[in-house]
This record gives sequence, C-alpha cells and structure tokens, in this order.
Amino acid sequence: MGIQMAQSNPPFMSGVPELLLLRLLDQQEMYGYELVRSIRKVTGEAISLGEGVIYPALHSLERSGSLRSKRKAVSGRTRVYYALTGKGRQRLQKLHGDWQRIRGGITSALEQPSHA
Amino acid sequence: MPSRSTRPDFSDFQVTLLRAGVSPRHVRRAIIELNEHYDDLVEDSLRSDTDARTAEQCALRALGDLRCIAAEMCSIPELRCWAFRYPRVALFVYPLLCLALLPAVPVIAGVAHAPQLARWATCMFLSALVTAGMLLFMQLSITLT
Repeated sequence: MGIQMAQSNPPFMSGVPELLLLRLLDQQEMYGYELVRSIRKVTGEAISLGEGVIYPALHSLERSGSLRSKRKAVSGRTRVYYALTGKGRQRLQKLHGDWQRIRGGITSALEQPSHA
Repeated sequence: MPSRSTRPDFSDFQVTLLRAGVSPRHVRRAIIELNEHYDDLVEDSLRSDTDARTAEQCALRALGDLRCIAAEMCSIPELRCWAFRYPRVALFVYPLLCLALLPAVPVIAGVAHAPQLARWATCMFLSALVTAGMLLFMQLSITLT
C-alpha cells in the first residue's frame, strides 16, 4: 500500500494498513468502500489512505491466503466482499503481537529522560 | 449514479496492468471495484448537497491517481500470472502445451462452430446420397444392358 500511503503518512506506516484491514475484517466481511470508511472512523481520521490503493492491498492479502473474496449483487451493484480466513486470523495475531511489542518499545523510549 | 461519460477512463490502467503481467482476473476485478468505489464516492458527495460536477471531481481526487494504483498493483509479484513470474518455465511449457492441444483444435473449432458444422455435414451427407444413387443407377443400367 506504499505509494499513496507514503504521500499522506510517514514512511514508518509500513505494515499498518495490513494490520488495520485484517483487524476490521476480523469483525465482519466488508467491501472496499466500507473498509476505507471504517479505517477513517476507527482511527479518528489519523490515517488517510489514497482510497483506490486499498484494492492492491486487498488483492495481495487474498493471494497470500489471508482473505477470501466473493461477489454479491446488492441493489443492482456488484460488491466484492472480503472476509478473513484462518490463515488471516493467524497473521492478524502475529501482526498484533508485533505491533504491541513495537509500541511498548517506542513508549518506553519516549518516556526515558533524554541524555543529550 | 453518475453518467458514463464522467467516469474515470480505465483503458490505460487496464493496458498497463496487462502489459506488466498482472493476472486478467485481478485486472477485471480491480476495475469493477474502482468503478463501484467511484460511484459510492459520488453518491456520498451528492447526499451532502454538493452539485454533480463537484461531486465527480471530489470522487476522482479521493479515488487517487490511477497510475499510482497501477504501479502499486504491478509491484506485487503475487498478482502476476505465472508466465510472468516464471518466464523460463513458460518458455518450455507453452510450446509443449500447444503441441499437445494441436490434435484437439478441430474438435474445439467444431464445438465453437457447431451449427455451421451441422449444416456442412448435412449437405455432405445429402450430396453423398445423390452421388451414390447416381452411381447405383449407372451400375444397374450397365448390368441390365
């Protein structure tokens, strides 16, 4: 999810979109537009995505087996819904653990008195 | 729903992805998803009392640059079809596959053009019957004389 992500958010965002997508899809299946809206909502608009860039990320996660997709016709529109797989759930747990560890480390570093 | 003419043009997007070897299945689906996403953005803007033209411009901006989306898709090796991921293997497999399929080509062509083939077969059968009748008549007339 690099190009547009890097334009609107710092480079240390690497891996965060994947974590967010997996976390949101763990709760319910959603289509792309719903996911973009949900990311905005749950992050308090702190993370802004180039909206179209979500699709390469979703396709990539599907290819890696973390997600599965199915098309549904909803009021004359074709929606591609994504849902988490067992493999995706494992990946989410791993990413969540990594994120907690990094967050703990950064928080700890920031709370240390500076030794300038 | 916005009119067709204001919709983003996905032809360059499609060509870029296919040339880069992205699987046609992913290309088709990405275009469907981006089209639907654009419609959703326009509908949302229209709901907030924005005029149609502004809504479409906002939707295009929010969707992002199609070249960036294409570049992003091209940078994911898993989305490419296998012939682009393993070109050396494809170099051997494709010719072998073509040779193996060669005997099946008439059958495939026959299935694809079944009505024409049926007409042709009927005509051939009828002409064979007429020819056989004529030959029989000639043979009988020779024998009887």
